[in-house]
Amino acid sequence: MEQTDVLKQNTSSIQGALARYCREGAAIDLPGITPGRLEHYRRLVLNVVHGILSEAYPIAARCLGSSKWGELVEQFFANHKCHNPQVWLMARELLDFIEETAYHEAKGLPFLPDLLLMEWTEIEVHSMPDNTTPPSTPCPDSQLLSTHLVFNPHYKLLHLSYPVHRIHLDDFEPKPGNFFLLVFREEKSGKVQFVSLSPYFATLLDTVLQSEGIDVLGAKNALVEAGIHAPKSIHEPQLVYFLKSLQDKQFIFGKVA
Amino acid sequence: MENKTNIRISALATGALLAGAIGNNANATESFDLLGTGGELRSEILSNINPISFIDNRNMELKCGEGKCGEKSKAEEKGQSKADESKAGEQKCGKKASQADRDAARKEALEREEKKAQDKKEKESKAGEHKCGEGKCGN
Repeated sequence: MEQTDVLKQNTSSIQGALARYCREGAAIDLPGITPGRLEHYRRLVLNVVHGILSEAYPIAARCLGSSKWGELVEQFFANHKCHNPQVWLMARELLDFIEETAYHEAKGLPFLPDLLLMEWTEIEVHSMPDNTTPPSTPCPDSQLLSTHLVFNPHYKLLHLSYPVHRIHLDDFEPKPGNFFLLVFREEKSGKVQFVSLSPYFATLLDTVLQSEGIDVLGAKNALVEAGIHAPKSIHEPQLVYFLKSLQDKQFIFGKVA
Repeated sequence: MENKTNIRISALATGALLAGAIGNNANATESFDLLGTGGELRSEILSNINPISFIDNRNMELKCGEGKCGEKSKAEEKGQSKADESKAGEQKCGKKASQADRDAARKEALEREEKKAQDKKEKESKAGEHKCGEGKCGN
């Protein structure tokens, strides 16, 4: 049902004008308003939006500084039509807004979408619906390469163009490249873990995760046959150490029981 | 029972650029890095973030629980910078401190300890696990 079907035309247009003012801040003249009070509506609404986005993206907010961050939040609120009624999902829409409008390019912040994606993924992975996995038992190191492993189903593998997880380090340079982050939720605590992966480990892990009935050695060989990995690009002990670390961190639950 | 095998090469690897990056690049195989939980990573980044050219440092200083919004910080009120703050009980060489001075210094040290504990608590709550979507927000 259209809003105008249940509201008087006049009421609807006043509400629309008030909402537009709250979003855009352009002066309006409405009947019955007390001078100087209308701006508080906008201030209060904007405070809520600012609070939600700053809480979701504390690193980006700090990086940009309050002035530039405030400008971004205001532009987003004025120009983006949020689709989701759940306010916490507004944070995801900020990322959509930046990608759609190429805001980051216009402002000379090429890494901004990656930074927001990294921060958003933590929320997304934390909020993922629970999935079940087959029963498993811890896998001995000697079997990690050749056994069907059970993986944590609550994860995202991010392919980033900028190493935004290293943005605080002296050697951070906003130069594009290939960077990978494994983001997963700990089974018991619900905490979200971050692991930075080299392209080799990222492609190997992704192949194992996407394939059915394959062990790590099988995935390694498939990638070599496909010409993606060099035949002797990594020593097996390194690979076992990698898998062991993931098992210790509970990304690998173990082998099928 | 027959085991079903269905190999799907990683979509991450199929891009020509990436394939080039993996092929014979020593860095491509180098390693992995356990960065810790989201809270730990965030704390590390927020406490060590370096000013980049676009950052206005004047906007980065947070008040960490000092008073209400818009209120001047204690240091600003005293008209001194943070770097000017001397340790409790610090005196010039050779100057003997009176009982009143010692009491004042003790009080200042206690206040500083309290503030430090408060800052730590504030930092933990801000940099901890609670982000939008994890708590009441959006219920």
